[in-house]
Amino acid sequence: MDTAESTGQLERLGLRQESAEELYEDAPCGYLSTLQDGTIIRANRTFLAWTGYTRDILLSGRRLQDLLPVPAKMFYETHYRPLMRMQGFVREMALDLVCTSGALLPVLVNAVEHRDSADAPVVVRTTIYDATERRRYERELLAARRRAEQLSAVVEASGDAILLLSPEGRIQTWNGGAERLFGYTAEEACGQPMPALLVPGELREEYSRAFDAAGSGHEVQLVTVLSHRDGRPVDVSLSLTPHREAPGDLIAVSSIIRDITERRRAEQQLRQAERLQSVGTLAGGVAHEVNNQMTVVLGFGEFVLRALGPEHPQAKDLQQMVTAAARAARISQQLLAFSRQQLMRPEEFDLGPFLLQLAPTLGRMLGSENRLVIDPDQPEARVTADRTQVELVLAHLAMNARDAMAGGGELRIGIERIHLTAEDARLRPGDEVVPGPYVVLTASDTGIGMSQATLRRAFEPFFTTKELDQATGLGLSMAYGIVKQHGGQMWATSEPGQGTTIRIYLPELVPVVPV
Amino acid sequence: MIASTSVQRRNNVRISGTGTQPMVFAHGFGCDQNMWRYITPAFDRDYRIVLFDHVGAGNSDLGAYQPAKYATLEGYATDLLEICAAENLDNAVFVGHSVSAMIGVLAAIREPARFDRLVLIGPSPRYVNEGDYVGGFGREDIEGLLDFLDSNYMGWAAAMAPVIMGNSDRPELGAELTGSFCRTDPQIARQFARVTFLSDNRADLPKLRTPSLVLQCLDDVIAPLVVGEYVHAALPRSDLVVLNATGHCPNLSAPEETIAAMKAYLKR
Repeated sequence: MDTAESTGQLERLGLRQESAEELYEDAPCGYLSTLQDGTIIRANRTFLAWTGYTRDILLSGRRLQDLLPVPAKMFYETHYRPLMRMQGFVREMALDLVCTSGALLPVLVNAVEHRDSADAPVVVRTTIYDATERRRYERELLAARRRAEQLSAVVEASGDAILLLSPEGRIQTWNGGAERLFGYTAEEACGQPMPALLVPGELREEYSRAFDAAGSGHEVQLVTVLSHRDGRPVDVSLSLTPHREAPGDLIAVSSIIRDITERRRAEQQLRQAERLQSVGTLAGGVAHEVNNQMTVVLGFGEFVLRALGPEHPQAKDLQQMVTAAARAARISQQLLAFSRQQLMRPEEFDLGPFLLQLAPTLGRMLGSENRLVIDPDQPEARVTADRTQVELVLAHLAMNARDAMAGGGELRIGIERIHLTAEDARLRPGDEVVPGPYVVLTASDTGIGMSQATLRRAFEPFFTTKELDQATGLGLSMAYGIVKQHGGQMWATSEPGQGTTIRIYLPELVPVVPV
Repeated sequence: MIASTSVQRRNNVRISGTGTQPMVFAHGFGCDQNMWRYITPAFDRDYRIVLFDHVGAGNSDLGAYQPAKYATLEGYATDLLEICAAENLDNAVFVGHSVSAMIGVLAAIREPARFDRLVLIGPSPRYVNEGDYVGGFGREDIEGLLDFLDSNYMGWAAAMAPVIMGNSDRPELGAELTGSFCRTDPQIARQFARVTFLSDNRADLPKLRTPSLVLQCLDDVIAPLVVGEYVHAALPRSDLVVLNATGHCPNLSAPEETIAAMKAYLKR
């Protein structure tokens, strides 16, 4: 639209054309013209009205920087002026102006240098916008940003994995805790569907149901297993919290995932220890009774057998009865050992020489197809223990190893000294670990090993993986009872096909140093 | 020891000039090496000109910013000395503006052999008033400046970031360059402002043994005349020249006067 057209339109509306002077003076922004050093040579009415200055005062040598409070002056000198000088303009610089009333007026400033035909700077044209409201919400935004940054730092540093998922279940944010827990970096994880990255195949349906429940507005908690990047399972508690916006659309789901591997392991240890203890109490009670009764049966049986004489037609039957009673008595003795009710004859001795002395017997027990290796580096390992009982323990370990190494193998026995700490005690609740120095007898075989399910029950009486006529299932449980009665610990590790290692911790006898 | 190429990339080191004696220019707070554009042409025949950006400013490597290292001016002095080592600079003339004047002083105290003379433009060892000492500012002024930085860097894209636009009034500036001056990372700029305006290096001044020229503007709100006089009094072997120029950047507002003062001093 050219000027004539515009004038015509204004006339039709009964309005007159505004003069350029009016447009300049009464524009909804301040106009200043300054020299390069900031000296004000022209100002419009709007600027005068906003700041309270009269034209005379303002044009009597005042510079733009003279109208600024100290912090704005600093910004002007360090940013505004260098930029003006180097590039000839500034855009949307935030400044404050000091009004004659003393009040501060927040403004946004645009300025451009105008040059003459010889490229010499003539004047700087400056527009000034009232930014009072804008500055207020900027402050609010800045405060909100700082709060968000603080919160973000807390989330990032959390030991728990904290994730934001899209409504479709894709990972949108991935904190430091998630990286530590699952091994993926944020770059690798973001954008991936969470099930594909973390949920094992067999648990995807369970996860999917939980995510759908969260999607329909429910907060979900579940205890499940997720996968680490390296494939190992991670026991976790997982929460899914839906986030919605009006009118109820799901916009995201947040998830907090906590590693409970250690807690679950400790719970399992505790359950196992408690089961062994209750079985021990029961077995001990029964064994005690059976033992007493069998002593009577054996005594009278042998008395009658002698009285009848070997030629009596029923002597053989009676002999069978006595043999059975003797076997029952032996089993109840073993059960008593498991229930830690053995009569102990403790003495002080060094396990090293004791083990070397016992080696030939253990070797014979292993059989010719297996090899016994006693580690040559033996520290001094003094304990207070019942020699016969410790011998029994080692004999049972040797027999167990032999049965596990049907095709031939090696049993290696070593001794070391170790200090069990309060942390070890905490990790094995129920084992009643007393922190302190211990001597450890380690027996490792190269046999078929055990599954975790078998391992958990390996020390229970009458638990055996062998044919029933080959074993009573009392060997390891008896060994366990003896060790516990000595104030020690017996812990086993095993993997199918990888052999079994049993570690026996006996409290070390610490020599008293003469003063 | 950091590799030369990493130092050069980190600080965007630019070398020019046909002379042999190095002349190292260090920019002040709020700017980058572009601020020397009107000064260096006067020296590039006689000196080997070394320009660089502090980490966080200009085209430096923002990834190299370490909050702990750059929490004091010593961190910046370390960078300056690493640049000297990477470029084999000895016996250099150091020209530092504003906060970089103090950075140069700290570097020359640590490795005097690197520097022949220092030209300190608008130096201040302490901006905040304290007891009888007049630095020019109250602590609340510094907080106010930080607020301005926040406000201006919020509108970062508009005010500071490179804007590809022509400038009909300044045809000598190519379109690609316009608006690319004095870029700085907002977070780093905030930290640099704190380090610049809240540091106290008054106790370092008497330790300098290198001769120096203090170039002081007549009317400088950032480093008032009284501060220039304090620096001159505290620096052994220093000269003070008060320029007629006003403002804090005589290298931009009065390059001819600045060059003349530098040449007169270096000729001696």
